[in-house]
Amino acid sequence: MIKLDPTRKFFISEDLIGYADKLIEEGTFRRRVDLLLVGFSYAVKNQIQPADEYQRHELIYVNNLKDALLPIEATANWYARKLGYQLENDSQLLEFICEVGIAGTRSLQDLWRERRKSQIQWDVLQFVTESDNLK
Amino acid sequence: MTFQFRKLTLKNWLVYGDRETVIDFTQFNSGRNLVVFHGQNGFGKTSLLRALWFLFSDDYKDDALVEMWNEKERASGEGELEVALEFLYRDKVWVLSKGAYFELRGSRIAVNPFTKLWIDGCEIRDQIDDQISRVIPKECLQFVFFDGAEITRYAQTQYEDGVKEAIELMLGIPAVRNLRHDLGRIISELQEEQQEILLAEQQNNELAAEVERLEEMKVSYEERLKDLTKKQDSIQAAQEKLEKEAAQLEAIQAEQEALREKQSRRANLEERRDELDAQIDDLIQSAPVRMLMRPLEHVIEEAIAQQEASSRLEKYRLRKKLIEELLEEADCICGRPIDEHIDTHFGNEIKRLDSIIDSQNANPNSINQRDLISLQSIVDQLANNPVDGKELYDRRALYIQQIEEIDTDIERLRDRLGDNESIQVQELLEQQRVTAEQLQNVKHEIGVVEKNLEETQKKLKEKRREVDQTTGTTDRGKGIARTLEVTRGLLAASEQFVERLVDRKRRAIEDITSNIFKKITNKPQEYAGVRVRDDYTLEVYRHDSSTVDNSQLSAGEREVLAYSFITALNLSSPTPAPFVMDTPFGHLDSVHRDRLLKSLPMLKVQVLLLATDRDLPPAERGMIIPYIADEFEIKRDQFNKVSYIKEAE
Repeated sequence: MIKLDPTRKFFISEDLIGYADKLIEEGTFRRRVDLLLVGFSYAVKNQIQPADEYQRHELIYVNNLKDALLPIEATANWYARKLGYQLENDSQLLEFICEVGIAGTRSLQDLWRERRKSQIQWDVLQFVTESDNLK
Repeated sequence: MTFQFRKLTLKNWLVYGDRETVIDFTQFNSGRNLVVFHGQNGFGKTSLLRALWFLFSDDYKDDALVEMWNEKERASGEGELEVALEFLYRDKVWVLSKGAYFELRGSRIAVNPFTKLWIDGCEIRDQIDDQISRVIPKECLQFVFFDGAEITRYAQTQYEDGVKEAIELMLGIPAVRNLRHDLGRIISELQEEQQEILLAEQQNNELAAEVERLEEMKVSYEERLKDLTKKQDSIQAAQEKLEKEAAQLEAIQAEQEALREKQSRRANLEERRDELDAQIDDLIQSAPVRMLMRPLEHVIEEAIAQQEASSRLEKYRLRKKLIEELLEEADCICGRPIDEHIDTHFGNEIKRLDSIIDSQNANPNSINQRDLISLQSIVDQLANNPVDGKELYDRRALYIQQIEEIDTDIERLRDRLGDNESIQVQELLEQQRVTAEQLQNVKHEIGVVEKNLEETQKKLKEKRREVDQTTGTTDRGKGIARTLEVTRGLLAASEQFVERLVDRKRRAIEDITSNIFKKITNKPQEYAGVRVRDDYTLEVYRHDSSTVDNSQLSAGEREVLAYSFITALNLSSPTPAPFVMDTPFGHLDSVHRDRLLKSLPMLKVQVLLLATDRDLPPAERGMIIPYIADEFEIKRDQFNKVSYIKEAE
């Protein structure tokens, strides 16, 4: 399993920065990377292809993810295989995670266009509950 | 009836157009005193009321006159407007005509107002405004021609500036007060003349100076007394307020306790809501991993499968090694020689094993044991702590709802407590003690000033007598002394008279207001009557003598109270004027409305009711038919945008 280089940084697309900041300001998420990761998980759940067009905007260092890092790495390796991607090294893995995250976040932005904090949090909790019930 | 309307004429007045609108009132007949105008909203009832205001008021300037001019006529820029009233007043026929001529000068309209008055056919040319003002002073118009929508302002605990004066004017009190003032002025003038006579003789200078000093002292004591009385009134008012507060303190304390309990419960709920918020925020942060439960389970399954595969690989390696070692030997372990056939078989087996080993080694996706354990542990932990987002949200929504409910309760309690929220018993008792002390001090001071004033007045009286004697040696002096004696007597009498008159009038109004109110109110078992205070504000009291706070009266009750008072006021005036009531029953329920309607025929004055169909439905109209002298309908020609009045069919 390819692992991420902890000294590299996650990134999001420039077009999502404003939206991420709005959600942080409303208190929906604590960090921009949390939105990116929800986007990643949403994309994996809904089998969304990684984004291919974006302007990169760097976020926090990989090692800041702590406990969430390993599950994300493992899922990303698995999902890449599932989609037929041959990942060769850690930079490709990082790009894959972020691109999937961007694609998922863009879908969520469409879904949450008119929604406010409580409605979005409610949606996220519903995603979680659905995942729990799938077991 | 010494005051009644006979004919009202309107020309180009507001909604009434150039066709002259003439209303002929039937001669007042005892028992039939009601004149009803039926009209829908916007048809011209209030225009009629304003026409009467206009006749008795001098407040209408040029701009206002242009505004009163019928809109359609105004568009032409030239013409006239006129309102004329023929009425019987103190057995004389008055014809009052007011209006204006309009002329277009350039882009503006020039206004030429006119007022004409005839009494018993003779045109009055001088002081017309004074004459009109004697009939209904403009300050009193508010009690005679009134708008039902505004009537409740007379049921307030405090009047706007000028209302008290208007009430006294209506009762004829200022005329008597003026007499007292005039007498005082005559006395001063005569005393000044005496001083002149006194000062002419040098030996009397000392007496003159003494009189002047005593006069100054008297004025100073009077002013001081006035100030102290005011102060006493305000302290007494504060004391009354405190007494009321003390009486309410128990209730306030209970409410304060309830408020504290609600506030503490709110804080507790808020804390629990905040905890839930934090819990939800944590969950949101852990959501990405929780959302990956299913894929992670796949990952783990695959990793376990791979581990099993690698243990098989080891076996293959061992087997291959064993075969390779055997090939180096001459005999097999079973003792048979390794011939060509066996050699080929072993060679093929080694190739097969190599292929399996190569394919297993090429898998770069294998997860190491440590990561697999970690992943397994994460998934187990999440699986053992499932999240019910709905339950969390429902719980938070419940807390939020409970907080909102408590907020409403707190708001209500705070409104009820008002400024009393922070009042403590000790604080209130201290305030009462301080006020009582202040009152005692002021009373003592008033006593001292009164005594001083009395002594000064006594001394002054003696000195005045001395002055009368000293100056009475001449004919002029004798004359002044005699006039002074008579005038002083008159002044004392008029002072007594004013006090008695004010008191008598107030009591009369109180009696009439109470009688009318009791007849109309729908709580006759609860309300015993109405008290009219010195400043003419009103207070309803119950049979147990307790008073009702005016703010506790409903809008309808306030209207009934105000109507009772205004009626009493008019009936107490020397010449009661006809009543004009525009949409009078706006706030009233049917019981109040019916009772008020029944009370109207009892008033011994003409009553003009400007009513909508809601004010006077057929059943109610039926009730007052025997008392209706005239009945008109206000019609609207919507095509020509003018209103007109015709006798009801």
